[in-house]
Amino acid sequence: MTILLQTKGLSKRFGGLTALNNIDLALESCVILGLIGPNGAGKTTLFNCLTGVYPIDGGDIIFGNRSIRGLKSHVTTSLGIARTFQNIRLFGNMTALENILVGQHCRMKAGVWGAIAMNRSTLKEEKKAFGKADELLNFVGLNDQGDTLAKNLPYGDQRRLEIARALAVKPRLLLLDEPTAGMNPRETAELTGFIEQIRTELELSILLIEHDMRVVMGISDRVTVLDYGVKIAEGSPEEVRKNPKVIEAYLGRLGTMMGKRAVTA
Amino acid sequence: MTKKTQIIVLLAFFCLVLGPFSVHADEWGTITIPAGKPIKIGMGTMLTGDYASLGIDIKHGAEMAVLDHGSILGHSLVLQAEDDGCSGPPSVAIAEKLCNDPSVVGLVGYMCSGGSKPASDIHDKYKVVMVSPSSTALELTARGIPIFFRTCWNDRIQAERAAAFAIKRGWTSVVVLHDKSDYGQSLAEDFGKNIEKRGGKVLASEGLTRGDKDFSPVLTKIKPLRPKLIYFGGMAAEGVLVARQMKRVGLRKTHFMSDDGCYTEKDFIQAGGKASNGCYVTYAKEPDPVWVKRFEAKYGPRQTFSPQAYDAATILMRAVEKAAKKQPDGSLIIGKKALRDAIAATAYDGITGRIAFDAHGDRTGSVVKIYKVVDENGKRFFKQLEF
Amino acid sequence: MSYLLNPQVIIDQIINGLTIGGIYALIALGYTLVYGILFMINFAHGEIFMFGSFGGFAALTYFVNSGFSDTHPGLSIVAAFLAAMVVSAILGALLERIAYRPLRNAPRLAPLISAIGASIFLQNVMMLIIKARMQVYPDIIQEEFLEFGWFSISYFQLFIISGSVLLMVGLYLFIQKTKTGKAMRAVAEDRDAASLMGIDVNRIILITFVIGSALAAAAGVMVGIYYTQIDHMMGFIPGIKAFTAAVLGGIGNVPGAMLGGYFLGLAEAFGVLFMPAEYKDVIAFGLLVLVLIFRPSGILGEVVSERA
Ligand SMILES: Nc1ncnc2c1ncn2[C@@H]1O[C@H](COP(=O)(O)OP(=O)(O)O)[C@@H](O)[C@H]1O
Ligand SMILES: [Mg+2]
Repeated sequence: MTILLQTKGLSKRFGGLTALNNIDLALESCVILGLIGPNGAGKTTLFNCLTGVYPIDGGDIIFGNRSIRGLKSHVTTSLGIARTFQNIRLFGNMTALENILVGQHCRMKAGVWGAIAMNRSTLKEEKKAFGKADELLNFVGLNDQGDTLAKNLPYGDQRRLEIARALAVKPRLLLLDEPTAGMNPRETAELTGFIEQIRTELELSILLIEHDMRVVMGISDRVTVLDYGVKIAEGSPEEVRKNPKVIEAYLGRLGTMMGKRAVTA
Repeated sequence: MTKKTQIIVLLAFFCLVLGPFSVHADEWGTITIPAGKPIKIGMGTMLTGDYASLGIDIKHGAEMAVLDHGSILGHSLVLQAEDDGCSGPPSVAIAEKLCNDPSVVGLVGYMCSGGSKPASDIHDKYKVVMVSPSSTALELTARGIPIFFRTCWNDRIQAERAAAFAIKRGWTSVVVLHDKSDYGQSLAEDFGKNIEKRGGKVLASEGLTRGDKDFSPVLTKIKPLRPKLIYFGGMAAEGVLVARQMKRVGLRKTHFMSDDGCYTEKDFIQAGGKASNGCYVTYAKEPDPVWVKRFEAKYGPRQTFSPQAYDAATILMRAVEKAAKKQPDGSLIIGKKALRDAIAATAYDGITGRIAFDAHGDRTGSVVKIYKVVDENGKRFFKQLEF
Repeated sequence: MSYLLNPQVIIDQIINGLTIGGIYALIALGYTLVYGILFMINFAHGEIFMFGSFGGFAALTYFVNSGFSDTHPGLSIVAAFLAAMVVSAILGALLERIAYRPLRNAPRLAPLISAIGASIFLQNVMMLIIKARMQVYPDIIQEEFLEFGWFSISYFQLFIISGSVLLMVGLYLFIQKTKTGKAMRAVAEDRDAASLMGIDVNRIILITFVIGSALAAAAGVMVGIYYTQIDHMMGFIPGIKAFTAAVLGGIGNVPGAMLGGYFLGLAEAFGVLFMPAEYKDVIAFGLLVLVLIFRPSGILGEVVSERA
């Protein structure tokens, strides 16, 4: 299998705080990598570094066969990295359909002049984009909600819409930041199945931050554990579960037994 | 020596040294132009802004006079023109600056009544004469300021003539507009009084804001009054828009009449286009055509007050010639009061006609004529009417 | 007073109000578009309007001198609009690049001061170019009137009213329907999220400035044709009034700016019926004060981005 994403000694500091310390990571195509760790471990920060939101202070990020260090967010996105957010960041005053169309922005060619001239190729492209957006709405099960303003959708639908919007980018790598946060067990189960389905049907790699251990352990091919910005463990879900360092990290922090009960990551 | 004798000797010394000069003593003080130095004629007129074409025309008139005059008693002449913005504050600033300049003998200006009024107080303080070519407001010569003169007319005459003309034409119901300036407002109000004195009726009176471009709302408000005439007291920039927008709001049978501020080829006739046709304005009688030819060959079409400015500068220079005393060392000493008296005593045939002043500084025997914009033989111009 | 409330006066004032209101609205859109995206007030927008007016003036003067306008008056005017829009669009883009982008992440006061500086600078540049003298738009087309018995409308007014409506409908469709328009809305709502959806935020901001400037330029040429007199200070009062219109409608809100423009135009037109004409400008600023006190979010409400 080819390696899609690789970080080499990636470091990120906020003033005196080292949020990420020398992180080495490798992710192959069509793989789901679970990313866990206690609150404040640096998981979201890692996403932000991968997507160009934060400049990194050391190391390198290789995507495909090139370094993407220092690239702006819209460039990393058009290279094929799409993401969702820990706190939903949909465009609330736009409809569900429009949100997905925005996601397709960098895959469309027509510019301002095309929009003003309304020439044939622009119209054709627009039509295609609408068809694609409808397809994605169906795919995430929001068939009838296309014209609803995003802010008026129920919470679970908003989460799914955010994933659909990310998929509209046609990514090779999808970053999901706590997609089941705030969902009830039934919704969580549905979403888990959906993530599996994305991986197999769309053939892309997924980096998944998730606090629900059953979800992570259930669908991840491999799991990486961060604590205080340091990678403390890596391996199959089974290996990681038994790793004493991991147990300590969680026990030390939360005093909660790992096992059947969900642990906040 | 005792103290007393010391003082006596000192006094005697001063009398001896200053004796020769006391011949020239002037109760307002003197201006000294050192040998070989030029005499400066000050000038305040609008050089930038909405009425700049009027102000630059004035400058050209004075400039031509200075060039024509050449020199005075071996001293060259310089015209120092400053931008008075057609308003009080810059005019006052120029007054302070030029009155304190020892080589300035007097000033031609200011352009607008609103500038001349506060500036004349400064000139009075320093007793530096000013001759305005264009400030026509009534009160300027009614304030007992001895150093103020003008080669234009007093608006009392302008308002009277305009009203008499309107009544004669049967335009007895009028609306009066003005630009809220010292000049426009007093002229328009005086016009209104004259109309009522002659049996006419002023239906409404409104102030406009200088610099505003949209007068349609107020003209629409006036429209149902069906006035026979709208009289505007103010400058061409606003006047021409009133004339244009009258047509626009449908006041097409109402006549438009304005003042000397609108007697300008460029800003009224050219800027107004077809809409300026049939508008009436008041102005002095046409200046000497030979002079106009000479002027236009040099500066292009004349606008309004260049003839009055030419005469104002000429009068000032002639008075300096009369009042100046040449010293053995070649310097000139000019008594301020003597200069003022020389201007007051002017009796001179200028290009705008006979010039003499009454006790207030107003020109005697000035006449105001009525002009109408006409389109004849493909050319649009101000045609003087027989009235 | 009662004579003022006859139907003729009311219709005439509606025409007056819609004409100037359309112009205010076109300028107001520039304020609102930029505020919607950057949360800053582009106080140099009035000068962009002024430069547009002069761009059109230069083009028309050229056509008059070359005789082109005698044979093709309509085409000359269309070309003047295009020239004006190009001039203002370039100016708006330069302003964004030079005066605002370097201050994007500075405290809010910094770009405001930069805007005021740019505004004064641009006024002075034009003052030097025209030597501070008022310029007069050439009369390429004579003003004719459409008569309806007891009221009439000038072709100029008809042209301005319909032209401004057309431009605004065009803008609305552009923002609602096109890909770039949607990107503009996305950037307005959440700049970082938009960037993470593959939108080049800097480019969209630049386009926003360009569009707002082009609309102001159209208004500038309309003012030139309608009022004929232009000078380097002409952007100041209309700029502040359009800003008032934008605040009236809810700054950042596109339909609000349009509504605010017409509201202000009509308020000025009807206001002079009830008070002396010299207070016309007071109406605009009085309204601004009242809105800021009682409904600071404007008639339609400010569009505030909902950030996570
Ligand atoms: N923009 C920022 N500025 C300063 N500190 C930050 C910033 N973003 C994250 N941090 C800090 O970095 C650490 C890691 O945060 P984060 O990546 O959000 O953790 P999590 O693993 O819970 O997603 C935390 O201590 C957080 O306070
Ligand atoms: Mg997090």
